[in-house]
Amino acid sequence: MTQEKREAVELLLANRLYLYSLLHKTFGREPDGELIALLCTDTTASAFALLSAEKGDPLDRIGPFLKSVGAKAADAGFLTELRDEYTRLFVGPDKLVAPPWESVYRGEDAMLFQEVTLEVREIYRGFGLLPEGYPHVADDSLALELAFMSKLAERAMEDLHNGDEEGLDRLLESSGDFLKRHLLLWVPKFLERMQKASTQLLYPQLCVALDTFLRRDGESLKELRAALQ
Amino acid sequence: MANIMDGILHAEFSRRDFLKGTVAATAAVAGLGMLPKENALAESAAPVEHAPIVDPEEGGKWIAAACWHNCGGRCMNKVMVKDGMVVRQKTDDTHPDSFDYPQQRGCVRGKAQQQQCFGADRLKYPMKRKHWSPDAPNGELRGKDEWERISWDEAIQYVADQYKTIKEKYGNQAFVTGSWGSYSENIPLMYYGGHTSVADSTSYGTYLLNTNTTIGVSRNGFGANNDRYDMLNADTIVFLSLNPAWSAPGTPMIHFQRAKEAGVKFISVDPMYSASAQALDAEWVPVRTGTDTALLLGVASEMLRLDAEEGDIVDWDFLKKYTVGFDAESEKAPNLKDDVNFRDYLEGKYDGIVKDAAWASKISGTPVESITMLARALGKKNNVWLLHSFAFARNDGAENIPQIVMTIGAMGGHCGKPGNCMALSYTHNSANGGDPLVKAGGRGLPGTPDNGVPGIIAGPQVWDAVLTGKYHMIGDYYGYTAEGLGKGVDMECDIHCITNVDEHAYLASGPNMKKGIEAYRKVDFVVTKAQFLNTPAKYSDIVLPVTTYWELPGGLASSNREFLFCYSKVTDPLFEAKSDQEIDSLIMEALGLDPKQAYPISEKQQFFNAIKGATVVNVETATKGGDGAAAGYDPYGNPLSSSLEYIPLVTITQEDIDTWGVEGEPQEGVISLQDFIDNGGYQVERKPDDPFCGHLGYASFIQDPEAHPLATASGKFEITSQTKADLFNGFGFIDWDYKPYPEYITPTCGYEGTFKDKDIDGEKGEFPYLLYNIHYLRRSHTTFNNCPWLRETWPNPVFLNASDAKERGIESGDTVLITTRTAQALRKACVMEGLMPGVVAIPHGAWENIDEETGIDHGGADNYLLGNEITGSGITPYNNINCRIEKYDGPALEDDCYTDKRIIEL
Repeated sequence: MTQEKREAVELLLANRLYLYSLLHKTFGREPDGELIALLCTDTTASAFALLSAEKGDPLDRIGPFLKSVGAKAADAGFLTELRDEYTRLFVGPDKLVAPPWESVYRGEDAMLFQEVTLEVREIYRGFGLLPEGYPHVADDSLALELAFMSKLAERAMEDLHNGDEEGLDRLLESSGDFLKRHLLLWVPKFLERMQKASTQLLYPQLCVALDTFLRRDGESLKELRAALQ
Repeated sequence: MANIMDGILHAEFSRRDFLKGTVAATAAVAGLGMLPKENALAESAAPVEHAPIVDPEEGGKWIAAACWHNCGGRCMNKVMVKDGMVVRQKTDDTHPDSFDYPQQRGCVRGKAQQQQCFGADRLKYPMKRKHWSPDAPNGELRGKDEWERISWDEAIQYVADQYKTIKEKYGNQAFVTGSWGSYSENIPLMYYGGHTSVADSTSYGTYLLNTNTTIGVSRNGFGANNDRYDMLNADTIVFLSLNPAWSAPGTPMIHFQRAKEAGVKFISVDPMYSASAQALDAEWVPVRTGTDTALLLGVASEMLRLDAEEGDIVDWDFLKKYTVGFDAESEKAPNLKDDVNFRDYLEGKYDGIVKDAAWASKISGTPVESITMLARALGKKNNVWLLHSFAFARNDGAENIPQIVMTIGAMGGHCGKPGNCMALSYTHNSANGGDPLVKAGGRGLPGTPDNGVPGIIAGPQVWDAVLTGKYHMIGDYYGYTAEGLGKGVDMECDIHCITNVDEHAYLASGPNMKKGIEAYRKVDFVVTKAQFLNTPAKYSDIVLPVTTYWELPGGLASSNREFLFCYSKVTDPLFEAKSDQEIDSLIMEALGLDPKQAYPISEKQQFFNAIKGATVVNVETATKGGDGAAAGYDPYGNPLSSSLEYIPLVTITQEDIDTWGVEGEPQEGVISLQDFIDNGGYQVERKPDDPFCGHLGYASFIQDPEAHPLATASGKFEITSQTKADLFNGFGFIDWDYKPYPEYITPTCGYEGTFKDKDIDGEKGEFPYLLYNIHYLRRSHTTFNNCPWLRETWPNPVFLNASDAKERGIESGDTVLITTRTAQALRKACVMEGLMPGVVAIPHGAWENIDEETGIDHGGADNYLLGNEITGSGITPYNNINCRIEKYDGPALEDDCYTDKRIIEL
């Protein structure tokens, strides 16, 4: 592999790790100034844009959108509204328009703790991982599945640095499998339901970018594995 | 699509700088604060090899799972649990199904139970309404505000601080706990000095009006029903507003089906040609909702006419021996003030109105021929089971329903002999009366202390009382207070806090919801324990997520007399939910009280105690027919059997006690603890000639009325009862002079209210229809409303008679605006022939979804349409409200299982 290509591989792996860990935190907790500041940087815009397939696609547009969000974030009132939007979309107590759990979309009914939850739990166990709230929480939430992708991305970086090519390939393969068998099967439907959100300050738009990002990450995983052969 | 790697290789930026920036940003993200537990992944033990799940049942275990709702059924539900998750569900298959040994099968709601427990919309965390604070409640925002997630510590602190402040400022009377009978509810407040209570007549209606001591009729009627095998001795079974197919889940319909197959004829008196009537091929006697007293007076007249003309209809011997006050010749109640009797009233001696079939037909809408048919069917030569539910007693003007039903039953002599009974047929006991053959033990918790606040508000007045500070108290329908019901007194209150902390959603399940929302918005503090954002939770300040029964250690549930259900824990508490006991204990601690006062033992020990104390009838010593020889009556007036001997049910070994980690002594029973748990309880197998078939309601009284008198002044059934008249006249809710006999009471609204000036010979008024609520399989009261399967299967329409709909240009599926004197709601029309003309029905228990601008409820909540209409006895008139209907000219209502969409702009 050329030095150039090696740099490109490392960059792409680092980019995935950044976006997955950022998205995990963003969907996994109430927003505060610090989180919004990190989310709305040029770095984030470039990270998304790196995977953009064409001009004007969601990964291209999300950067400027996030910048506009970031510009408003100094206003405490806006931050409060963002927090309300997060609570409404991901916490409750009212019925969530798009419950962020895979089982809701894999079956016909809005239910948690289903067979697919068990499948996801078994996959986590395969990597020595479990939700901190086990067994009280459903393992297939958006935040936890992003956390899982971020953990694998982190381990992939380690393998790259340690020169463990086999381990790296296995991790990339597992990441691709998890995308294909889980996230990519439900996030599009989740996004469709997200259209009913009563406000669109940040999270519904971010879901549009997330949906495209996941598909593009599937592509980049294939390319990464090919490049590493 | 662009190749990503190529894009990077040809990019104009410096890869090195980009990488540096990304790595730095990743570190910054990692440095962000902790995530809540439900969203963080932790490195656990070593990786566990896993293969894709091929057989979801592998490693699963069947567990008997609670089905605990107030539907009246206590049916078997079993789930296969794997690593805390339910992967399969079934009902009773512990033995082959037969009439003698029926399986205790669950219904659609039981099957949807998993959607209730694992619904994505479960309340997961304690929440606080955003603009509520102790200093500025901003109550007007209740139901419209945003929410904030808070910790349990914060939530408990808020609740305890509010309790303390409100008690200090306004005293304990300032708290009100809503429910059907909340006198001993809200455990922490009971130990903190009490609260103002609510008593609503709910299910029982006018059967709560001391019927046992006034007229001799059991108040809940369970023991008055004969054993199910006796049904085969009947010629006819009459249903008075009884629809067991929808309202008595479990085995009752199987028993009725068996009777039908054996040739027993069914008659159904009901505003609707019900699912039960259809299944049992019953002859339908249509009646306008709330007019049953008139109809049954007509039946009594017709029985007398037929008896005179054809003979052998009225059982004069029965009337003479077992009743007082039938006619001028009859024995009189010893305390009777004026020399009046039922027959003279019927024949118009007191008011000049003859209550014959034609008179009755005019009010009830029942064809005269049907009245004659019913009168003939009730004749003394016929063996009749005369069964009723409470639905017709939940009406404006229904005070005399219990007395008139008893009267026509007594006129035919249908009581206390094989093939005959006059009884309530209700919930799991429907179709099957008598002492339980298997019983749960006690859980070992102390009784709650006396409520320090004497105030008890009747259901229809609760929310007005919160708003005005005034109400009229007649006492407690359910007998929690020593005083019970009595003379009405005017009371004052100053309510500052509403609590919904027991198994009730009274804002939704009680009357006057619209005013209720106003009342909620007025007070300083509202706290609710809930599993979903149901109606009371929606209008609260603090909501506390409480576990379902599937997340508790387990318990026993008494079902029909043959079956005791035992359910066990299915899963750990979901997200941050806590059990009632845990929440109550935390609140008590924060109030400086010792939770051990209320909960001295663990929930597991309570489960164990209930099992250990469970007993089963000793079949060896039971004698045939002995079951019928009642020794006396329980506080509700049910006959008690003396002859049944009970022995311990479950064998418990020292090893069991050690395994469970509980206190107790080993004992011998008839089933091992493990089998009892695995089976999901215990069922007594019946035989057509077993000793328990002999249970006949009121048998001991019928055998020897001198030795076993009823609890009335005369010791007999009182067809004319001074005690009743005095009780009713003491209430003081309305201006009506109650008579000792079962006279027709002109309702405040009711059928008469649908006419101008209440003149039924005149023109129809502004609200020309009668509205009642049917109990519908979508829900058990207000529970299950959000379960997707049930929403799709039972769409919750408004039921309209075909000719009424045609007149208003309404077709099935059209959106209909229903307007009462109180409120408006939208529902889709279901047009049918099998509903009385002039009667409109909507299913009970839907959750409101109010358009804040128009005030129109899009959810179809029955109790939003019901106002503060009060009857003479304070009972809530759920079933004869006045309304009008029209085709809605606004946007069509969507089916409950769908909603609209919008597009995200990025």
